[in-house]
Amino acid sequence: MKTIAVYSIKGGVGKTATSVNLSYLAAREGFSSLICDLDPQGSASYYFRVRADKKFNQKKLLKGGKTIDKNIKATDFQNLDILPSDLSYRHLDVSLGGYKKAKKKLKDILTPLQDEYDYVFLDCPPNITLISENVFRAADSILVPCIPTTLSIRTLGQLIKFFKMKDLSLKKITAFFSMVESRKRMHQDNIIKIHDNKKITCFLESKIPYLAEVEKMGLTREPVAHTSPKSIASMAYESLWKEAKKK
Amino acid sequence: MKKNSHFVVPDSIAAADLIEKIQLHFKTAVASTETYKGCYYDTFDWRLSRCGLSLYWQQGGLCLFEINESEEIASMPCSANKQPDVLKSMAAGPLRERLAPVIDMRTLLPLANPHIIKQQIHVLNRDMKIIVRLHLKTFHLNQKSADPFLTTLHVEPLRGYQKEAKKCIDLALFLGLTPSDKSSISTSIHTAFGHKPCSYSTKLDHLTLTAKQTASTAALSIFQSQLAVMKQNEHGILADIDTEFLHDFRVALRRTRAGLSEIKGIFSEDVTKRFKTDLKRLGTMTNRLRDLDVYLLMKDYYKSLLPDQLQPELEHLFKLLEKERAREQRKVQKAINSSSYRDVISAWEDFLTTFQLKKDAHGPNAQRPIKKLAKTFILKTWKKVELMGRAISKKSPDEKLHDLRLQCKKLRYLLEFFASLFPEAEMRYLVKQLKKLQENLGDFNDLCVQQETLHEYLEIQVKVNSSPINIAAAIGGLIANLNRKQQEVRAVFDTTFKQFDQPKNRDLFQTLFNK
Repeated sequence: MKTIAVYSIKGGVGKTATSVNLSYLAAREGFSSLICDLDPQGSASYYFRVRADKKFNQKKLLKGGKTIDKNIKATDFQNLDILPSDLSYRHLDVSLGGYKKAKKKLKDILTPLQDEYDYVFLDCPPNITLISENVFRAADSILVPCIPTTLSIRTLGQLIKFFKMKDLSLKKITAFFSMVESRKRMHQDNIIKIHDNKKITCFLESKIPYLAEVEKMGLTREPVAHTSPKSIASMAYESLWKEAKKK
Repeated sequence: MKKNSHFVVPDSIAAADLIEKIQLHFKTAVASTETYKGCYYDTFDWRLSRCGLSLYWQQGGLCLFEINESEEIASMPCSANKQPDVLKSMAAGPLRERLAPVIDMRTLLPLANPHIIKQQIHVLNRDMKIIVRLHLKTFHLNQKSADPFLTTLHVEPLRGYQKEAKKCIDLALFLGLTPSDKSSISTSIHTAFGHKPCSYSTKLDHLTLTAKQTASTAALSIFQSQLAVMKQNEHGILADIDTEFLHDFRVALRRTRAGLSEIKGIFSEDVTKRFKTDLKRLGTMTNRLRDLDVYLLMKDYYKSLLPDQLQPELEHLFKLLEKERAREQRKVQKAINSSSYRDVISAWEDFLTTFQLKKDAHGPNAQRPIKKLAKTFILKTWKKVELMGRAISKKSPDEKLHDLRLQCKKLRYLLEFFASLFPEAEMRYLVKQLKKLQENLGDFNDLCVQQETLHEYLEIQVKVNSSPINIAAAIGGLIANLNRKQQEVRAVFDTTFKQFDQPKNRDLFQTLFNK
């Protein structure tokens, strides 16, 4: 089992669109995959038209084991399951704090799923909190979408700093440019600046352009890679997945 | 985790009507309709069905299912025009691993080719999310037949939506659908194509004799059952489908011949003598082919007896054997197609059907009750086995074991012929005891014959072909290994026989068969 977290300190950078499409692509290749929607906003769950059972909440998530098993649901796609989010996840941080090994809790929760899934995707809430630290320890790879703007790139720097401070493995971090607008001069300049900087090695080649098709996922409620598999957006996600799974 | 449910739709409900009825209760969408030609497999002796397995091809791949379990055990992608009819050509993988030990040396035959129309129906919730998948299939004998011979519905639950699946299952039951499993569905399909799963058997289990019936009627039913087995296997021998057609044919033939000589006094002496000679000829003409089949089946075993570096040298030997087998196969084919073979079989068949009318062909025992006779035959043969076995010491020549082996065979056939006349458990126990002894003797004999064959081959290779020294080394190594094994088998004969000849068994023979 490989755990891939799609994470960013900053919100609105295309995290959920990325985890939804990558998990769909992994499943389409025949890998048994699970997407865990950790964001209380529940966007990934919405895209897959899945609602958590009324009795499911953050406490159940933290219980792990069979409780989690019961709440995993099949998506409309072969090989792809989802653990839907619940609004109560907004209290996850507080609840986690009550545990002895608070930083490793998520890792322990996911361990029993090891035999069942080839890939587990974590769709994470923005911010840098105790839950983020759990994600960093549970994931084998942390995929960071980054809009080619100063602020967005700055948050990547903050993340790296945090990793150094907590003595976490920097090798886990992989970034890629997201919501790239080719018409914007600043986007182009920033991309060139990053790619030219020999010191920065964590960026992938693949870029996800800013496309209406991706935004339309809110209406179709399906991964764009399924709705229009030949579209530019689909191709971009396919190329991203090809690179990301090697990391 | 997942539990699928299969239903058979009664003939009174057409597929389209069923969909309409479902739509009254659930929000649904027909996701896809596909038509394709399916293919259901089994071996000639129904090895899959007997193990409760069902193997079929449907669009995209081969699937294997287990009886009463609707979960697929193994599957393999495979295109329509590349359906592997032989296990050998099947790619390695879980499907092959599961099938190989069951099928062994037999060939998978495509037995039924229904034309299938498959509709996938999605049951949706308010979010238009798929919560249950329904698979509705109609099976037709061919593309032209409008009315299906079978309609099935499969409710596929999705993870996290078990309650919804349960509702669909309840609806299916409410609509009068019959719960079924994959295996009974495949049985219906085979039946529609004129096959009767598990009907073929070489065993005499299905033969039921009664104590008071005359010896002649009992003998006739034994002979007729064996003749039927022989005839059923002819086509497989001719088409060279696998080695077991010939094997089964020969077992039935041997049983018939043993019956002729061991169920004494049923037919007049002339008749018995005539058919014994005729049937023996049929056996002889297939001897070499069976020997070659056995060698070729043991190829891997032979290789395993040699160190790695000598294993390739055996290829030459097996190539020769394969060539010879091809020649022998043609000979046997010709023989079975010949009029002399046909004549023997039809004469035997005619004789069996008209026997009761031909009083001059009757032997002295023909009208006696069978049970009494059976007891005498079994007891006599058993006593002979006992005497012969006890006379064998560590120094006895190999021939003595060979003779005992033949005597044991006779006893085995008698026990099997008349099993239904005696208590089942006791008979099964005695056969099991005898089988152990027979295995020891059989192994010993096989090892003798194999060494002789290899010696002959070695002579030819060295003297005539002056083959490279490696071939000689390989064959030498093989002979040495087989000889060592033979000594081992010989060494345990004593205890094996004593085990068979133990007081408990002797008492049982006496109580069952002494008048």
